[in-house]
Amino acid sequence: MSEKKEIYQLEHVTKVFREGNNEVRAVDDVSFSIYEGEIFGIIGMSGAGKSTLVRTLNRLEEITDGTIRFDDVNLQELSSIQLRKVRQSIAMIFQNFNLMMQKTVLDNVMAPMRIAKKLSRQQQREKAKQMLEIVGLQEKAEAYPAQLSGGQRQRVAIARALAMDPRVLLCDEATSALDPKMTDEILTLLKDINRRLHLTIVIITHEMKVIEKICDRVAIIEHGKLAEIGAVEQIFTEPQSSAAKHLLLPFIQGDNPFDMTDKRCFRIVFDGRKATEPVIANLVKATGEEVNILSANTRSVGGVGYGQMIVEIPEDPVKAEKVLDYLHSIDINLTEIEGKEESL
Amino acid sequence: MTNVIWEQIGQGTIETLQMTLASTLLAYLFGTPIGILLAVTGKGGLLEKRSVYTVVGTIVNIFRSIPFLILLVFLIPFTRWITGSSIGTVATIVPLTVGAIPIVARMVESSLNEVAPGIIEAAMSMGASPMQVIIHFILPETAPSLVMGIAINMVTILGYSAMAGCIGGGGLGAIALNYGYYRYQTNVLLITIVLLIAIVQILQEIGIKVSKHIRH
Repeated sequence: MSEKKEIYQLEHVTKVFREGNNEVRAVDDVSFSIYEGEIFGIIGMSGAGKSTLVRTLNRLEEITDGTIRFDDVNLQELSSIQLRKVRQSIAMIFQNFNLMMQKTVLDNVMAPMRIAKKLSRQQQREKAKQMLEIVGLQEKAEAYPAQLSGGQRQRVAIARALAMDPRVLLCDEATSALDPKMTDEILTLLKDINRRLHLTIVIITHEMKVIEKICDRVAIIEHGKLAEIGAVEQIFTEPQSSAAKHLLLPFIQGDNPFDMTDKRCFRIVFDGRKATEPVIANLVKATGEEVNILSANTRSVGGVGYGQMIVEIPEDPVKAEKVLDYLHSIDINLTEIEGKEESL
Repeated sequence: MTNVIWEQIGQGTIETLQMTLASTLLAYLFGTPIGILLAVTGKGGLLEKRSVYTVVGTIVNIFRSIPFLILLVFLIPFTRWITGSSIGTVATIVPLTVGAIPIVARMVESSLNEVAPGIIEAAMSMGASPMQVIIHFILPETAPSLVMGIAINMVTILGYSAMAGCIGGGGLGAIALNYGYYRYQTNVLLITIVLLIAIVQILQEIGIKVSKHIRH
């Protein structure tokens, strides 16, 4: 983010659902800002309140308390007519695509322009075709959504969203109904749109890999509360909250390696520099002790290479001390993974 | 059978079709808005409003509960006030329409309720007004289901039109009653039955064909 203009400012946003005598605080005193041009992720386990939260961003869901400013306008103060106008610059795509099944792809893409009534019918058609070109589906203009795959349907939904010339695109679990390959395609497309059109994108997901692949910053939501917020690289390398660790650990490890061992385990995070150094080989050479690598991988997070490794150190306290001393001496990001019960 | 009877049967078929088509058209003219109103004010609707839904729904239910033969008699003064007469084909259209409106309204309501809530949510997120949501999203999405509903309602109205024969309405119903029942001419009765079956089949087939054609 070169410039830091805020497009969304949330202050103490709270949403309470009442059902009989039961009160559910789906969103609980959440404050953060979203900057223009960034891809902002909101992640949480299902039921954490993230879908409610994204629906407050275009007031599909009314909030109970707090304020939401979009482009310096307080959304809560808008009349329904003003709100409709503002909604035309907040596009949204959904998990189930929500396309009209009885209309052609082209008609679907034209829908928001029919509502806005700014263009003639001919101009609407032309623009819809351009939008389909952006998402690579121009040859499917006359097809019906039922004839398309899930990934293609989401592309149509994205074309429809772009047809509004939005300031921001809200994605509510947009890839959750897709297989991994299609998920990748859609995420690549979103990133491309973000870079090319400088469109702010807000992504709601429960999948860390979505955050990792395209988000610049991420907010972690747990039980309706904001657990942690920051740059994606920072959250991935130094998660502070238990919610962040909870979401990250199974992701980093893939299968849970803790089941294999009762010994002490450490997580070593390599930043761009250390990733290229043979840390473990040097460790073994320097200390003469052995460590067991339980899991290791390197990935690109936000364009920077990161390596993460879970190692099991010797049981013997003297040997363990030697290993730890060495690791501390080379100034590497090292955290002990506490007992399984606590960390997972 | 004399030529006169054949002529009457021909005339009756035409009258039956006229009554059915005209009443269906009018019933949809008045019933569709009521059905839309019920769908949007109902639970989880676009403009959920319990009071409106309850009042309109109750009126619809009252009219739907009255057996059609009784409604026919009950509406005679109303029919006379509108058409100037209470017998004949034109007069029959009035009670047929009144009887069909609540049926149409409920059928339209249930078709509209089939629309996935996500589509309505998407429409609202684009900044559509409630009217635009109905016109640009809900109605096109339910078109195939609405067409099936029209075919079903036509058959119901056709059945009602035969009852109208009892109190001076025209059509095949009157012929069946006058020749088949009062004069014991079973063959005439059978012919009208065959004709009615044929008409129902044709209407049903057209409905299914059109509905399938527009469903994607």
